[in-house]
This record gives sequence, C-alpha cells and structure tokens, in this order.
Amino acid sequence: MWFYIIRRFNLFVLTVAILYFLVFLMLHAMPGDFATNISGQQQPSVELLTELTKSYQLDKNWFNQYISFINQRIHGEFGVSFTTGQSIWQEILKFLPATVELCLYATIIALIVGFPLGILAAVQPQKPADFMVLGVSLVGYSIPVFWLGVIAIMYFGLELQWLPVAGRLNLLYQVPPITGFTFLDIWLSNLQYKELAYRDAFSHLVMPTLTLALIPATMVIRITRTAVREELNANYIKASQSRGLSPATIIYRHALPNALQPIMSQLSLQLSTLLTSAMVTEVIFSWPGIGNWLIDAIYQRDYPVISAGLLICAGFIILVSVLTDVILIATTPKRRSAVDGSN
Amino acid sequence: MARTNSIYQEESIPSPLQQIWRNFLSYPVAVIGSWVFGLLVVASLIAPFIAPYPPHFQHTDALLVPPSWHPNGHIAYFLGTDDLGRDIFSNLLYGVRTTFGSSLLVTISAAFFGIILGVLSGMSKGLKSSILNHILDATLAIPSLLLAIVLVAISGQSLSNVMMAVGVALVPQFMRATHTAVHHELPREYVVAAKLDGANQIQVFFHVILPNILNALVVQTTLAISIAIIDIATLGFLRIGVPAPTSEWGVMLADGVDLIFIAPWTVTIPGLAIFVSVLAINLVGYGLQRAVKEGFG
Amino acid sequence: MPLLDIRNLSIEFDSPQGRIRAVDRVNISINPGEIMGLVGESGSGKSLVAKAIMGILNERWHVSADRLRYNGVDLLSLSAKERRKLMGREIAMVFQEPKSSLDPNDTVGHQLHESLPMEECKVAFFRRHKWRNEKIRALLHQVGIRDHEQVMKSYPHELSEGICQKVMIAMTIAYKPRLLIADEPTTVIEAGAQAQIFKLFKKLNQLNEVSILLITHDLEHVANWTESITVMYCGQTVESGLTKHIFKEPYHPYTMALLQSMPHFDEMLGHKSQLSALSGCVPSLQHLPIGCRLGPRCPRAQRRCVKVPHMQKAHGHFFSCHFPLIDDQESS
Repeated sequence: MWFYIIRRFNLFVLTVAILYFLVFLMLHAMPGDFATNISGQQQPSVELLTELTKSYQLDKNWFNQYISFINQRIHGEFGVSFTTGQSIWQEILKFLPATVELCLYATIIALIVGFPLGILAAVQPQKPADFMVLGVSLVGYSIPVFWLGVIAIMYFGLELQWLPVAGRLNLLYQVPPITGFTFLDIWLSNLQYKELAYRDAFSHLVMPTLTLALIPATMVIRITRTAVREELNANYIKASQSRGLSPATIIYRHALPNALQPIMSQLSLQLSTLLTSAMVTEVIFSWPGIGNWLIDAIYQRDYPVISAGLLICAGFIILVSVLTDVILIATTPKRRSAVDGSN
Repeated sequence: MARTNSIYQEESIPSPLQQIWRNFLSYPVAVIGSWVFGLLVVASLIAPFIAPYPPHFQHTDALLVPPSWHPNGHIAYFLGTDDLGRDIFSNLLYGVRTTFGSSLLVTISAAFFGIILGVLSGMSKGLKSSILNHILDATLAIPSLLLAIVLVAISGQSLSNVMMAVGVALVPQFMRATHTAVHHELPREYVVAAKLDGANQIQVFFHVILPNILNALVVQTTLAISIAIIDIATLGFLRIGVPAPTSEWGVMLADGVDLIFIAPWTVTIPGLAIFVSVLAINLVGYGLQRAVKEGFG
Repeated sequence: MPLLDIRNLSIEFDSPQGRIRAVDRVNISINPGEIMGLVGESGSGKSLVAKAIMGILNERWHVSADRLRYNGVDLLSLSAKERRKLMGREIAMVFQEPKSSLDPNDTVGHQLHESLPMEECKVAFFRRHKWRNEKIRALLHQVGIRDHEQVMKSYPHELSEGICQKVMIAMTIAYKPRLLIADEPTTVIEAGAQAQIFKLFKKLNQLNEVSILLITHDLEHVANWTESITVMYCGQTVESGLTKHIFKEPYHPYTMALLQSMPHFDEMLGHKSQLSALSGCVPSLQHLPIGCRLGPRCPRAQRRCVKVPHMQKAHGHFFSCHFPLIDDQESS
C-alpha cells in the first residue's frame, strides 16, 4: 500500500509539472513582454531587470526558463499584480480561505442533502419517490448557477430583505483575519459582540452557499442513486437477505459502505465543476475569494494574477483528487489488494 | 423436426439499435426533451425569418415594456423590451443561434478531435499511454470555464474566439471519456477473439470496439452540449465572452441585472431560455442512458 | 407430514410480450430428514423456485401457488417481517458463487459475527466477545475449517471458493435450520473440495436431521448423494420419485434422455459415433411451447401433447407425460 502511495505522489508531482508547463506556455502566449507578465513588474528599472533575468533565467533557453519558473513559484514568489502592485502570494493567502470556506460548506450541504435522497431513490426503484427525486435532480442540474444567484438576490435579498446580498461580513465588525475563516476568526478575536458577529457572518453565508450547493447536490443524488442501485443487485445482498437480515441492516451495513467507494471516486471528478460554479457565485455575491479576484484580473488583463490563479485553482483540484484517491485506497481493502496485486 | 435456426419466422427480433430507440421512445420526458431540442435547432436555422424585429434595433418609444400578458404590455413586443428598447423576443431568437447553435457546432468539432485523440491514446499501451494519461489528467484539472476564460483573455473577445476557447476546453473531456471507454473494451474476450482471428488494429477498432463504445460517446456528447451552453452563457454573463452587440442569452441576463427591480423579465426570460435548453439536452441524455441500460429486453 | 409442501407453484413476470410463465405448476414435497435433488438444465427455473421459497425474488416476479407450506405454515400469507424471521432460522440457503455471496469489504470473521444467534447468548456482556469467538470456532470446525484464526481475519477475495462455501454453510447452520436449500453449491468449486462439501451435507443430514434440497444439473452428484429427486424441464416438473427407482426405470422421455446423455465409459463407444442427446434446444422464454414444453423436442410427441399433461402416479413415482415409458418397459 505504501508503494501505491509513493506512486500516486509521483503522479501528483508529474501532473503538477505538466500543469506548470501549460501555464508557462500560456504566459508566453499572452500579449506583452514575457518578463513583465511573469513577474508583474511593469517598466522595471535596470537593476530590477538584471535581477529578474537572473531569477527567471530569461537569457537562457526555454527549458531553463521553465525550471526557474517552477523554482520561483515553489518558493512562494509569484510576482506582483499589475493593478494593485501588491505581492500576489499575499493576495492569494488573503482570498484562498474565503473560497475554501464557501466550497467546503457547500460540499457539506450537498452531501447532507444529496446522500439520503440518493439512497431513498435507490431503495425504491420505479416508485413515485424515485421519480420525484430524479426529476428534482435533473431540473436542479439544468439551472444555470448565475441565474439562480441573481434570482435569489432579487427575491430574498431585495424583495423580502431577509438576507444580505454582498460580501462576507458587515463592515461594522472589525474582525482581524488570522486564519481567514470567518467563524474561527470571530472566535479567536476579542470582540465584544461575538454573538452578533456570528449571526451576521452566518446570514452572509446563507445565500452564496445554498446557491453554490445546488448543482453538487444534484450530482451527489445521481451518483449515489446509481451506485447504491448497482450494489443492491449484487449477489451478497441476496445472500444476506436470505439470512433474514433486516433491510435497514443490509443497506447501512453492507450496501452503503461498498457503494461509498465508487461514489467518492466519481465525486472527485466533479471538483472542477464545483470550482467553476464557486467562481461565478463569488462574482455575483461579491464574495472576496479567489474566483472574484481572478475574474477581476481578467477584466483588467492582469496577466501575472491570471497565471497565478490558474496555478492555484488547478493545483488545488489536483491535490484534492490525489488525497481522495489515497484515502479511498487506505480504507477499502478490496481495492487495496487489487492494487497491491497489480504491483 | 425443425431444421432452421428460428422456428418462429414471422416474428422479427429488433436489432440492438432499434431496441434502444424503442426504449428511448417509451420515456415521455426524453421524447419531450428531444422535441424541444428539435425546436431549438429549427429556431436557430430560421431565426432571421421569424424574428419580428432586427435584434439590436432600439425602439426609443418603447423602453422597458413588460411582456404582453402584463396589463402594460403590448402584443407587438411579445416578451417585452429592455432599457434600450430592444425587443426581447427577437433577441432571444437570435440568441438561439449564438448560445445554442454555436454550442452544437463547438461540441461536434470538439467531439471529432477529442474522440480521435482519445481512441489513439486508448489503443496505445505502455509508456505512451501513461504519458498521454498524465497530460490528460493535468488538462482536466483545469476547469473548462477557466481554460475558456484564459484563452479568450489571450486571444480577445469575439464569437469565433469564444467558440474556439470553449471547444478547446471540451476536447480533454471527450478524450478522457473515449480513452476510458476504449480501455474498458480492450481486455474483453471478444476483442481477443477478433485478434486471434487475424484482425489488425484498424479492423479491431472499427468492427469490434467502435460499436460498443458508441453509446458512451453519445452520452458524453449530450453532456458536452449542456456544458457548452452553460459555458458560453456564463462567459457572456461575466462579459468576457461574446462582445456586446451580438445577442447572447448570458449577455442579455447580465444586462438585465441592473434593472432587476424594475424590469425582472429582462432577467427571468433569458435565464428561462438557458434553463429550458439545458434541461432538454439533459432529458435527452438521461433518456439515452436509461435506454441503453435497459438493454435488449 | 412433509416438511416442505409445494403444490402448483407458478412464477410469472411481465415482459414487453406479455406475462410469461417462467415456472409452471411445479410440485415438490420434502419430508423431514430427507435429501432431495432438484435436477434440470440451466434455464429450467430451478433457481427461481429456490428463491421463491426463500422469498427473495424482486418485485418483477409474481409468485402464486395452491400450496406453499413449510411445516404447516403458509409462506405466501406471511408478512415480510414474519417471512424474514423464518428465513435464516428455519430455512437457509446456500448459493452458487460463494465468493460473491460474501461482502467483499468485510472480514469473514465480522460477517460470521453478524450471523450468530444473539438471543441464545445468556452470558454477561463483557463475556460476549469470548462467547462469540467460541461459537464461531465451533461452527468453523464443524464445517471442516481447521485454521479458523487465519480464515476469520481474511477477506473473501483472499480465500478459495471451497473455503468460502464452507463459511457460507457455517453461517447458515448457526441457527440450526431444519431445511437447507443448496443452489448449485459446488459448480464453481474444485473437485477435491466438492466431495468435502457433499460429505458435510450428508453429515448435517444424518446428525442434525437437516433436510436438504440440492439443486444441480449434475446427475452424478444426484445419483451419489440424494434419496429422492424431482426433474424439471423448462419450468415444469417432469418426474419425481426415489433416486434409485428413477435411475433404474425412468418413465418420462426427458429423464430417459438425461440418463442416456451421461456417457458410460465401461461400454465401448463406437469410433466417431454420435453421443445421444435430444435434438433442438431449450426454448427461450419469449417462445414457450403450449402444453407440454418438451413437445417440440420429444421423440414420442403426438398431437395430444399440446395439452399440459397431469401428474400421474405409478409404482411409487410421479410423472407428467401423455406417453410415458411405462408401457415400453412393461412390454420389454
């Protein structure tokens, strides 16, 4: 099993290297001077230029440039942004937790809602419950996330005025950003009105999270339904039925744990869709996350930020999928032995 | 004693393709979806002939007219007008060509390239296959929308650039789906049997593998169409897609957001159009998946 | 009183072509302590009958019978909960592919834990674990697995089919059932383990008075290990009676054909001679013949065979045929 983990890690490194290569190519293709794009320094002074030439190996061939590009990025040197002139790495640290928070909560909600519905539909095939769940998931999957967000704002935010429509926290609350995650930061700070701050943060979270959670929820429903349905047709389920085990035991102790494995592996393929929807949601709700930052950069043709954002987003997705793979292998014995056997 | 193979000669057993078609027709939602799909295709072809007004024509005397069923509405402007006096219905019809029609074209070309590349990578073995797999993984990790956004940012905003960007972003998905499907088929025993019969790679592919991966490919295509529609509309909504004068449903929606309180129809109607077309495709895709799974009865 | 009494059991399902009767008025009767074989080709509906008795067919199948009684209790009138109680306690089933009948992601020991009768455990809770392990050890030894420690720690894919089948049997006898239905238990098992499994069945039958319904297509097994058999063809019972009698004097043409198809290697087979078999093949479910389903293939079929023959009794065994082989044998 450790051998497999090492192999997977190698794959991870290789995939990230290819990713860096793709971004490197894109940087060359972007309009403007390559040195400017890669470092963010517009009209650098002569000393700065020599320094850049040295660190990015601009005078050597493309292979050296590629290697030094990776080198710089790994050390946290992402250059500065065209628009703000700030260090990109600092901006990443500022915005990434907001996106992670949004995605995490949305995923949790999607799992909590989608899992039981998927199981319900799988256990009662061709009955009304199945059709309703399927119908809801098909319709939900077809709603464009930006339309949903805008309508939610219009209805809940403006007409009913139940929930705020922009940002993470009302500006009245000055919460020092220690970890970047709102609830943790409120807890760690020494504000006087923590209770009110929590409530405010929560009300800001509701609409973006629910909007973002719809599409993943429908995917979870579909994937769970298919996977559990397939497991329920297996021989060992018939065998446990013949031993008189109750349906609840069969589903929760046997079918579900076995179905978890294909469910998890298919869900990890949906990560990129989640990230895309998250980016659009951030723009609509003015949520200060990586997506909003990236889209702004695109309006302003801020190439260093664009390339950095690409690296972070794609790198994040690769990392999560590798982790999911490893966790899956570690917890399911059958796959583990198949993998060990094939090595 | 019966000597022929089929004793019951008057009964015709449907071929697998016919059986799938029959299964498909027995799901009402899928049939409705395919009708809507057909309607959209027809609309994209004849839009210029049935639209009541030219799309960008501004009726300065009819700004923000609500849809015709509203008391203030006017039948001449069937779905109302926006803040510049442009008729929403005509824009919607022209938008069918932009959003829906171009996503069809984009999907077909992405499918063409993606499937060919996927087949080549799927039939290859060993180191070559491994390398291709890794490159695929890396490109798949970049979300398609993000890739499309970056490509448009590099090459500039125009309809053809948007189509190219979305197409390029879709190719890895086709490659991956084809690669997986072909890989699944290769170890099957009938493939081995065909090889033992003396078939070379090309024959094996066309006669043995292709018929069996067709349904996976068709399902992937319907999925890709819905992704393309949403990608083009999202790009339009974020205003990084099709540039302003062209009618496109996402752009129409973005234009309406500022007016959302006073003229909600400028937001709901384009959104509804996107929703209906994506739903239709998804219903067709779902119907196909189920028809194939039901099998040959 | 027979332990399992089945009269006119029919199993139908709905297809695009209409309602198809896969199993047509089957009669089976098992006495306590008897080993009965249910013989037939694949596709004759034997597994369907077994699953119908256990009640584990899914809802597509419609089961109806004049009598489907176990120990006097009508199985069709039981609620799902009562049926579940009966299964596993009194009636147990062993399946064809033992490895896939075990949960692949659970250790064998854990699955055995699940199948223990916990209500018999009168021990205090901190001693339960030890009691369970003792019980499992006893069960595994009873089925002939010596190395119980290793087996309990393993996953199903790490064990051979023979051992998995023994584990399945151990799980079923934990509750001491009175009827054991074995659906082709040794088809996928290697020859050495096959003999062990049959010996195990015999032991259970003699020592624990377990009746066994052995479903198989292999006539040799039936000849060696069963006391009475029922022969099925295409969903219809064709003949049933004591094994010895049927093998000596089959009355139904199909049984005769089955027996003749077993090659006798003590006689000289002519060079390139044909092995004897019925011409044609088992009809598909969409095109079942009316009347006696052997009709199109039977060498003795005549016009009367379009009506389903009734079950007749002669010389201690039952058969359903319009033109049985009795007259030939009596005359020859």
